[in-house]
Amino acid sequence: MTFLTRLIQLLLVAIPIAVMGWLLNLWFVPSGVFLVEHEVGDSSPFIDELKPETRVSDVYKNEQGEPVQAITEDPAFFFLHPHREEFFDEVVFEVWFKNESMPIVELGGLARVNPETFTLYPLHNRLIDESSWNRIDEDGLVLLQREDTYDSLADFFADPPSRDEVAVYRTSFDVPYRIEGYQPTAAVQIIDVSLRGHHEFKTYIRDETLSFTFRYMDMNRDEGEDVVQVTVFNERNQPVAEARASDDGNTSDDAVVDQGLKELKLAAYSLPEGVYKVVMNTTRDVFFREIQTPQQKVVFLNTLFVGDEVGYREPSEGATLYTQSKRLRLQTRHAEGVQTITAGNQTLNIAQPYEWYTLTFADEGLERVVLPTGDVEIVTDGKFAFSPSQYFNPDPVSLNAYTTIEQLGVDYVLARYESPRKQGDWLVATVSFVAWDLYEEDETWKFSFSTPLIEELGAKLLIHRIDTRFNHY
Amino acid sequence: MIWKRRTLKPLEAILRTGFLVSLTSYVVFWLADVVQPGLVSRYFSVHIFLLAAVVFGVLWSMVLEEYEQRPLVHVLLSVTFGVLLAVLTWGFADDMDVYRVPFALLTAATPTILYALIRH
Repeated sequence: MTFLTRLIQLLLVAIPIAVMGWLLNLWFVPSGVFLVEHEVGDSSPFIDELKPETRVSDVYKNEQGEPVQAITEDPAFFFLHPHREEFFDEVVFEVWFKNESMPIVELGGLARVNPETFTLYPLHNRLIDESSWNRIDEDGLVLLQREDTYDSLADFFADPPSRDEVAVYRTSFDVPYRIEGYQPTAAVQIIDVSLRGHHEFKTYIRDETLSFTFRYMDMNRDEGEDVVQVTVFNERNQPVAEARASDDGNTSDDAVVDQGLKELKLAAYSLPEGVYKVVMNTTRDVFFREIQTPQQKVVFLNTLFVGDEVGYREPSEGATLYTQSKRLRLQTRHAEGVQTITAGNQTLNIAQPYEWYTLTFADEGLERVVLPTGDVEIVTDGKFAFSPSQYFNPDPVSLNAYTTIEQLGVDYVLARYESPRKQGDWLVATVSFVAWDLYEEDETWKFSFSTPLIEELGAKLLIHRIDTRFNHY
Repeated sequence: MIWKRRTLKPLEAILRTGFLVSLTSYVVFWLADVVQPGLVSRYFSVHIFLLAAVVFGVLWSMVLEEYEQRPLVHVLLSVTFGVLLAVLTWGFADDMDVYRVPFALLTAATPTILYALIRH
């Protein structure tokens, strides 16, 4: 009897000790790998359900009794709550999905805010998977060839075709871009447009000094320091020059602005010929009012935020820009930004704040877009210039959801892509994110499904599972 | 012999152990979750241990044949618990400005006051 009593007492003491051991094991992750399995509809402390509710269906059971949730509008997102986000180096998702009609589906991790920027990786590229071209898969890269020219990717890189023949998808093509007959000039060009916050552009240098003068205002509308850092990257993505300006000393949100424009000069001498990327890294409080440069070619990448001109000049002069992108998304966040945009021979009414509007172009070539007033964010998978002569496209043509491979007029497609594997009725795609590339707030990461054309096609992306593996190296 | 150990019946011994282990576990797991938020609460509610302590405590009181008052232990426990509460309050109340000190002192005294009220 005493033995049994002692045994039960020992058990009572051992249970919480064992539970604590189990919890510590989960916390410290001695194996370096932490797996979270998640079916849609399950409650989890690590992964939230898909949001917003207006863009996703309720969770339902399919004929096999599996839980399914449909994404019906773009974008839908979810939050991830790692228990030790500073410990893990990599997040790997296994997404179980069905996609019947969308050309490209991607998953993005939030990398930056103001504006929100996602690093996107492919889940499903039906343009590649359903292409009849010859296909080579090697080390996560795919090469599609119209004719069977190369036997391997090594052959392709050893003797690459010209840039005009290649389209890329989520990778780069390392044949350098050169402009035949380019001659430097001393004439200074002025970009007289208010650009708000972080921007990136590319420029071309040959036998000249890379030189930019940024004239800006710190509008002090949000709390915090507003440092301006402009960095130049060469074609290997290595930083080669930098200029930096500290905050104006006012870190409050009182909207008190110093008189006149501040100036930041960036210069880099004796750079070899090539394309250089310039990253204007700063907060949304900083409005670049004017950029002066002797460089002839300047194209802004992917995102433009044409700022308001309150406290600078009245009335606002807006902006005129040029692009070859076939699809622009535009939004204003204020009633003062409501306006009618002229683009080619069409108009687009931005009728209310916080609504994204889409502008599409059918014709090839450079399109002129006129914003009568500023305060508009513009997003595209392409480039913008502020004069036709400044426009150039140093990057290979890019495969996206709005074209077909045939329409691109190329003979090769080079892509960083692995087709999803088949698991029963589901496709399972594996996507990994580097942890340091993710923007963290309140120990939370945000991920978003990119489903272009989902509304136009009346399509759905069905999600069954999102399994997550956190890795520490 | 100065001290003689009281012999417990098997059921009473088990329930007593269950009560003490549950109560200790509740404090330890709760503190662990305060120090490292989510360590416990991501997986289960720490109040499970409190529930177990209540169940074991009620059952133990039903089979308890002899109760011995230990006022010194009670006072020591009240003081210890008061100090613990004061430290936690001080940590959580850093935005309370001038009220931080009296608030921490009040929480330090609370267990002793409650104990005095229950005794008398």
